[in-house]
Amino acid sequence: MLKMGMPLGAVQNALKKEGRDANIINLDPEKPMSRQLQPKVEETKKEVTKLKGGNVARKRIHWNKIDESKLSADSFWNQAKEHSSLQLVGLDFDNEEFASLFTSPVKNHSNSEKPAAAASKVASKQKVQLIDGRRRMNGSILLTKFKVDYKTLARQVNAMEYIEAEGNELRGMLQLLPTKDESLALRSYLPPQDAPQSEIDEAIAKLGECEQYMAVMLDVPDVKDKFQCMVFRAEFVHLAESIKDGTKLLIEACESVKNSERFRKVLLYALKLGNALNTGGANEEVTAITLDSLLKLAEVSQTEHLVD
Amino acid sequence: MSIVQKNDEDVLKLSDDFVPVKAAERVSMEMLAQQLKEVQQGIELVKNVAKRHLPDSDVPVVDLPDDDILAATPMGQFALSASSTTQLLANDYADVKSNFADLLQFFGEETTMTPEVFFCTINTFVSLFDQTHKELKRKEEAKVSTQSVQYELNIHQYELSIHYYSF
Repeated sequence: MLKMGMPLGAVQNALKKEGRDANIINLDPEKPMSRQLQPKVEETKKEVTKLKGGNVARKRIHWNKIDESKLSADSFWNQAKEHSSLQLVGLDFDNEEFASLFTSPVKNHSNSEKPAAAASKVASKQKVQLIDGRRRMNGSILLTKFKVDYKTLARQVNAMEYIEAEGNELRGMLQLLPTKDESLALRSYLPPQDAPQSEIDEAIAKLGECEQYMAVMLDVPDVKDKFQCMVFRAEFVHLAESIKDGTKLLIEACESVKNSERFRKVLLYALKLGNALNTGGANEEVTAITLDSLLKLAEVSQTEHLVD
Repeated sequence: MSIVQKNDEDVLKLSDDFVPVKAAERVSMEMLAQQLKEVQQGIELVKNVAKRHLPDSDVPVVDLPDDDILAATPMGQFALSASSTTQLLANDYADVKSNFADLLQFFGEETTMTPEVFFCTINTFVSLFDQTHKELKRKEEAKVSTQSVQYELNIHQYELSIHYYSF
């Protein structure tokens, strides 16, 4: 699975689901398994004893993995791999501190008087977060405007149906589609596509708002193009009106200039006045003038006042 | 301005003819062309995507004309209607281009001049024209009031002189 490019965390999750020891993935395939497993078992025993027999949940980092095939031979990561083991084994660290920082005891409510619903409520609040915090926050703000269920939204996007949304909102949703890395993280978190639907739905329900949206959009084919079409559709009327208004204004302006008798008279007066002023000069008896020459009349007039 | 005023009072209302020109100087032909291109490209994208994702049908779509294929989906239907709207917009744009080219030719201006520059020149001239007219009007009013003061003074002096001679 690792060779296929699956992230380590995803492989460990898959092993756990099958009821196997997730740590087996960290072992060296060249050495005998029994020898490698022994100290681990002891360590685990110690931890368990320290936590007085309670179950522990280790915190997980859903980070984005760089595909090894993309790394150059002299990259830091390859050097790091060659020089040391990538596990904590052999490092000096305090087990207790490790446990206090990165694990939390899972309380068993089966004997308590509190109803199971309360426990599930707490669990439901702990959403799985797989994407960047800022992106998640912005996405959640955008998505709260849409009360529609994400599955329905995905179906509408797939069929490119009309969605009552502004162009910029759809553009926001387009930008919120999972990136390559986010898709990988989601795929590694979600059960395989051939898993029972209920299992997939359950996994999606545990995700945060944004991640839920991304998870359902993962399965919409050609989703980016479909969103672009929907954005275009939402913005088309405005864009078409803008072009129509622009062309209308220009046509009206052209007609008003061309048909203005008054303007023709002004041009004629200006020409006559200019010719009178220029008598005896180089520009004597001019028959046509550029329109910006009209602005020079004002300059002449102002100069005259200055001279006065 | 005074020549115009003395010869043709009606020409002073030049700005009344140019109301649409005021807004036209803010319209860019280049921008219109770009928007039109954007719309045409958008429609092509929509058509392609709509054709790629057709609902399951018993009729083999390859045998159908493009318009019939597009009419099968909501997005395809939109593409068809948007396409005809855009054709009208393209015709309007072509009209503007030819009207403006005619206008430049009519006034003997350079064919490369843009509508922004052309209409801006006219607007600047019209506002200077109106400004000068107001200035002239103000001066005339001042002159008239000076004259009336002078007239009253003259009458007063005349009355005084009558009074003097009556003695």
